[in-house]
Amino acid sequence: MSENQQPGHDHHGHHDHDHDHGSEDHDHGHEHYATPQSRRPRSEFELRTMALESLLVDKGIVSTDSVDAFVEIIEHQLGPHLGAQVIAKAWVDPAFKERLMADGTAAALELGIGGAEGDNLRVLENTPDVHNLVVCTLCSCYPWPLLGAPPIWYKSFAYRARAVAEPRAVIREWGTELADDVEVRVWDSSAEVRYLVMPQRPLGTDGWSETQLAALVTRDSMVGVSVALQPD
Amino acid sequence: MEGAHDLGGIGGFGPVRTAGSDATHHEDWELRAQTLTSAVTRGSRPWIERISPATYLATSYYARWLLAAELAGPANGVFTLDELEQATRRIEAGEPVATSTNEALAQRMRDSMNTPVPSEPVGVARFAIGDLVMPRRIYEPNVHHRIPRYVRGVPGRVERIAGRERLAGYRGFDVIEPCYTVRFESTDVWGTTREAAFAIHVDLWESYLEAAR
Repeated sequence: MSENQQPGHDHHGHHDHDHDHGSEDHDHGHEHYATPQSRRPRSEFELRTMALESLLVDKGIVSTDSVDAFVEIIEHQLGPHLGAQVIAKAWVDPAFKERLMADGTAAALELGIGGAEGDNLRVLENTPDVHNLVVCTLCSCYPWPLLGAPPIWYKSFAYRARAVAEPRAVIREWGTELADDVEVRVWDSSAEVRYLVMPQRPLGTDGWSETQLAALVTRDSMVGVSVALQPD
Repeated sequence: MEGAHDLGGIGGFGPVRTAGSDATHHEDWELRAQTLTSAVTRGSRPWIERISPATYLATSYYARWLLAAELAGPANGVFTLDELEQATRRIEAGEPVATSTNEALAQRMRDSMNTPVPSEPVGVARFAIGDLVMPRRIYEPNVHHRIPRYVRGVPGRVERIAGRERLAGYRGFDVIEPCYTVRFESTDVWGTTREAAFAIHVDLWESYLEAAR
């Protein structure tokens, strides 16, 4: 069974702890293992993770607050809103865009954005003639400081296998048909560079503020499987 | 390693977008497993790649992180399998997960997440932009490396010198050397494809490359 085909779990999402499980099959009234206070594991892997955390805490290798800090940052602080801020600024500020294309890491840091898995950031500009698509065929490399944790589809076997072999077919799944004369450039994040796509700025957005524009820049458009949202 | 992680170009996995796949994870334990594993492996990729291919393809993404920790823990001297087994039995019996507070460790985590470490200046590089190069054909079933199978032996051109980075395995982790972005043409990689020709860029360390003609 592949990772994005776990029956009964597809409706679990990137969720807060006060969500409603609806008719889901947990019958103990326990939370998921979101904190060590959660009690009964619901699956073999959850049990083994709880055991590992307990053991590493006992040995002083991790602390509960260091584990919590990682989860808090990757799940709640980082996210596509940060990448969207960078892209929107580049759309309205040509000097910033020039710096961003020359040294993505330094330019993003001007906005206070940067960190682990973004040490060597390269921004790829989509144009009417060129469409960029980012993948990591070997694992799941992804620009955390700008996009947060990667979506399940980005980590799926299907995406990792197909993005380098049939990129147009993959992009079509998001509803975008690329003409044959558009040059598709796929970027396999196989080393330390992390890639962020700058989608084309939608027509009809002249005079828009950075905040308005950022709302059009989706995560998927910054990976390259999709394009920016169009104004209403 | 020549494992199942090297997925580029494998067919038959079906659609990319499936129900629920826009989420970042399924369950709360998964992100905890990821950071716990990082603490145990000190470099997770080689350990994830050591998972047997049959298991790799049959387990979910974050379960593979956990499997990597279970492989690396004993090997790195972090814990014994017996200790892990006992901890598992205790949790199974209803004992709560141990807790602790260590502000220094928590701050170190925040710092590592929030502080970029730029790559070193490139310095002397063997290849120049535009050079024709070829990723080595190798067979390294027990050594970590980052040469995707689908570009080995395929000629490509240096598009950019990406930086000077710590080499991922192969000839040792202590080597720091130039890393290149190499552009390959889809026709050279796959022959005639089902869709219009495209380009694939792969980042490859200098040791991974030889000159092509």
